[in-house]
Amino acid sequence: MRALVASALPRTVRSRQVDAMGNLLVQAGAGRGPKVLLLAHLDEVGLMVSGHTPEGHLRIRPWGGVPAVVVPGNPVLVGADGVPGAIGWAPHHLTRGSAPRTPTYDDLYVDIGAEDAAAARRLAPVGEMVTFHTPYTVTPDGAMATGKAFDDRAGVYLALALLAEDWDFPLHVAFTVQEEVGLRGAQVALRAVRPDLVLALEATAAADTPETPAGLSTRLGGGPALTTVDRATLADRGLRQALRRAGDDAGVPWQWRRGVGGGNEAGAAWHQGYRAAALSIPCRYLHAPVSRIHLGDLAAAEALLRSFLAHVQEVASDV
Amino acid sequence: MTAVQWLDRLTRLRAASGHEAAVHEALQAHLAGAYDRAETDAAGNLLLWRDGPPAAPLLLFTAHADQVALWVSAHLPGDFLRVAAPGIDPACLPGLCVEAGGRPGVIGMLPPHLRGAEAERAAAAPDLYVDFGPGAADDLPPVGTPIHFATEPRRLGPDRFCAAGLDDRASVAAIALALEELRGERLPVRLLAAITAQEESGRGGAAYLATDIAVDAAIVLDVTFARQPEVADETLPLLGQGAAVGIGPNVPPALHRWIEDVAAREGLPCQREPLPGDSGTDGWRLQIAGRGVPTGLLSLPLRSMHSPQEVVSIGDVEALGRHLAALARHPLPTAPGERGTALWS
Repeated sequence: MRALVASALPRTVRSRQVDAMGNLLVQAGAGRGPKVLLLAHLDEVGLMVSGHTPEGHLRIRPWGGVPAVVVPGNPVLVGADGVPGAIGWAPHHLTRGSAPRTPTYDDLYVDIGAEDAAAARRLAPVGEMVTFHTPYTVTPDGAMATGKAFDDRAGVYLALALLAEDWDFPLHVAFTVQEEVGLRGAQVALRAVRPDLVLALEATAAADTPETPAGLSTRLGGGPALTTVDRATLADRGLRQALRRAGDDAGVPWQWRRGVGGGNEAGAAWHQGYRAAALSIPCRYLHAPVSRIHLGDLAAAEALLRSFLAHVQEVASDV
Repeated sequence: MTAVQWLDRLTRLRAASGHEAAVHEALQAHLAGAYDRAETDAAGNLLLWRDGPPAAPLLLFTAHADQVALWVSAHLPGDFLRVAAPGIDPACLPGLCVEAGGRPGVIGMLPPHLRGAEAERAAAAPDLYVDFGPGAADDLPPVGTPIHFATEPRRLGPDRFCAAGLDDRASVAAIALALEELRGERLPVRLLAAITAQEESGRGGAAYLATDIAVDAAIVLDVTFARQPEVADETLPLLGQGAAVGIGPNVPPALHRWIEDVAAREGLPCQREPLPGDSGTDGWRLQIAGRGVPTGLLSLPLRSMHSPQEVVSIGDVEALGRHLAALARHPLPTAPGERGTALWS
């Protein structure tokens, strides 16, 4: 991901470096304005090979927050070479009559077609990354996209789009690592940049599906979501208001993220004492092998952020 | 000293979190000449420096000095003390010999004859008390005093060593062996052995170092769960097959490859430990300290962790000592100051 993003950086980028954590830190724009840092994380949730069965199956453990119940029966790719595999689950014909089964990681395994443990170890040693193998598709009307890892590829897309403009203030972007295992990359990136304002660009859980309780947000198509409070942050009030104004000025929809669960890299910045807020793209089936976003939300977020950054000077002085 | 001598000497010391001085004294007394400078920092870490060429990269080894303990939580009528046992399963405590403030005591237990219907119930923390014997009531250890297991360290069979506090004194022994092996040798790196404080109380002593000191590579030593009868998980390392090399977000790929390559070149055993998230060691916080510290993890498999009878393989400790010495002799996988891309590809 880092190599892909590095190769996609626009020519407006003035400096770039990769730090000891593997964060890619870039700057576009310069001038006397506030130092703004956008955070977008490169990592996605997945699985790790943790062992091998005598029959040549791979044992797995979650890499980030992936509940065991969402993974059985899914296609995966194993390791840097992308060995294809399938997450096995005994057919219900063979288990009919027994109590309904709730999978745990002790039961789950990846079938890569290896003959025995030695072959499996050769193809997929302990520690290899296992990623979901879900193709990117767009609905026939062009409105919604389906795929894996919109958390946080949506944020990475937005950051790349905003870097392409030649801003009259220093715009920094940290494409961060290890968000999914504890907001870790951002903590190191913040110490290097020491920004005036921080915006985390994220994907957030959508609650517009049949099984989610009414009254929760967010919904696809309602625009990007603003957070007041979650498990990691109390968003900066001035920043929050400026983001609302920017959305209204740009004439695009936005929504509040209701519910206080979850957390993102704005929390890492908040804990270090920075003014921070988050803008999140609603995403169905967050942290599952398949997720879905509304492309209109992405476009609205981009318009909102451009409007916000165009007036960022006023935001910075309005503490 | 041999591995067994180090293990024996270090596990006779009693060093609950915040009470690590005995370990510092023993290391300084027995490692004279194997380091250039010693200091103790404000976080309670003992730092043993091996100087080198001024521009040489800095390699850090860390292991924690402290061990789990019981703590006096209240005085009861008579000779008894109520205790708290954070991080310890109370089920393994009744009937043990312990020591607090230099005084021997025993952890009391209601005899099975009197337990009636509760005979099969495991001990729970609120049941626990220490009996210090008659005449002791007027000068019982005050609330907050650590109570240590009084386990007599000993060998089990040809290759196993059993004692309390092998978490993490076994790793400290490996660092001591490495420093002895490297005594007087010219090294391509500057070396810092940090024997850290309060790991068991969650302080993460190693992380404090890296805010002041620019570390080019760190090897964090700790113990990890070995496979044992009630824990048959095939993803856990086995005792006697060498230290486990951590692999996952806590360790840049260039570092775990370097650790494994050096072991292979030296003919030393090691295993792999999959760590997709928090490694549960000092290394998790050390890695994100300051501008980020390239961190490697080497963990000694250990049975019955946090019990009064922890067990490690003597061969694993010897091999880990030689492995550390070899890592100090081999060039680091990345040049000083070289960051990021090379570490993570």
